[in-house]
Amino acid sequence: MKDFKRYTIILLFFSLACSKSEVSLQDYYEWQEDESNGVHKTKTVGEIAFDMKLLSPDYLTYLELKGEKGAVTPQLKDSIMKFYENNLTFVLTIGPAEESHFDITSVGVKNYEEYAERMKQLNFGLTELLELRAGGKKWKPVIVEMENIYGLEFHRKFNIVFSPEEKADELVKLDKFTVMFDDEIFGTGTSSFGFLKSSLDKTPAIKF
Amino acid sequence: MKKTHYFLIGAVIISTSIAVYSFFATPKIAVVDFKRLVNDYQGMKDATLEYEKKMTGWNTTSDSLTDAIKNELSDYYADSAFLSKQERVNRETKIISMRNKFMEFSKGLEENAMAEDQKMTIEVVNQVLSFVEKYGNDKGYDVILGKNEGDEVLYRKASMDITNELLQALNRNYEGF
Repeated sequence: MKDFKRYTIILLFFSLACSKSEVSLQDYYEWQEDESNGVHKTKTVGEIAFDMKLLSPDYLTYLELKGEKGAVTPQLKDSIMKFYENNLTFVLTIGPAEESHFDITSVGVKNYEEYAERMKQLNFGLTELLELRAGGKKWKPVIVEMENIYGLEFHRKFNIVFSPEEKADELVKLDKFTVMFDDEIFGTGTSSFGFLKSSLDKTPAIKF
Repeated sequence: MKKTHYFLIGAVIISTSIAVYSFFATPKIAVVDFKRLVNDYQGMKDATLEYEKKMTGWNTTSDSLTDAIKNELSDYYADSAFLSKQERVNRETKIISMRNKFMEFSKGLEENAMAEDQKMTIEVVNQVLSFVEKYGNDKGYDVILGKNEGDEVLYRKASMDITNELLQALNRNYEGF
């Protein structure tokens, strides 16, 4: 009986130690922003800065359930989480480098035709320029969506989603993966953003 | 009162030492073999491969155009004895038109190849320069000199050459990890 109690306490201790800590949304943003945590990568080429963030399934589930009026059951949360776990979702921000001040939708643009072409590229052309690579395999994004901007901003944000093509769990099983962006728009060449699955696993859970 | 005096004298000595040190401190300088840095940069190797792929595609189109002209020409020679004057003129016009198209394509190809090569080089060099700036800043360098073919750097201590470590960092950055 004594042994049973002891084992129960040890098991309880381990399960508590292994469970993810729950943090507020603000703390999650702070954790995500810190590049040393591995889910946020930045690059600057010339006057253009790239910022790529890997979003956790927990955060995406949070966003989806945020507006939910009824009670969020654990089953509902788990099913949404499962969906996001099988995909890889990123946010790419393209903007001017630190000391530069220009709107990326119009930099280098000479006339209206070129502006229209730039907007077309930004709205619809990024799918062709982005690729996920891991272990010799390549995936094209299934969604690339430019976020609407309601104000004067110099940068633009893109939501990018990669989905499995053959097996549902093929992306979950990747230990490391790289998002390649072949920049034909601003002429900065190919930029790679590498991520480790272990970094995603370390992401803190968000308090719902 | 005495204590305050000692404190003031100490503060003056420390601030003077800092000012003198900053004035005479040697700037941190390093030298980089820029040509090797660019050529051994994985981004350059990948871009060159992409360029070669494009060139192969263009050359294949060029070869098929050449083959089509050759075939048309040999058919023309084989048939010429049986062709009427008008038919001969038509066939010759067709061959000349094919040849002109080929010449146009070749000229375009050359221009495209040159533009593509230039674009690739600019992109890669910009990537390298942006990284060198970040690297220099992070590592606290005051100056990083480029050792080029013209060799403006006439002498450098081997320990000042940071090409290898910079190249390693550059390639790691290219991989994105």
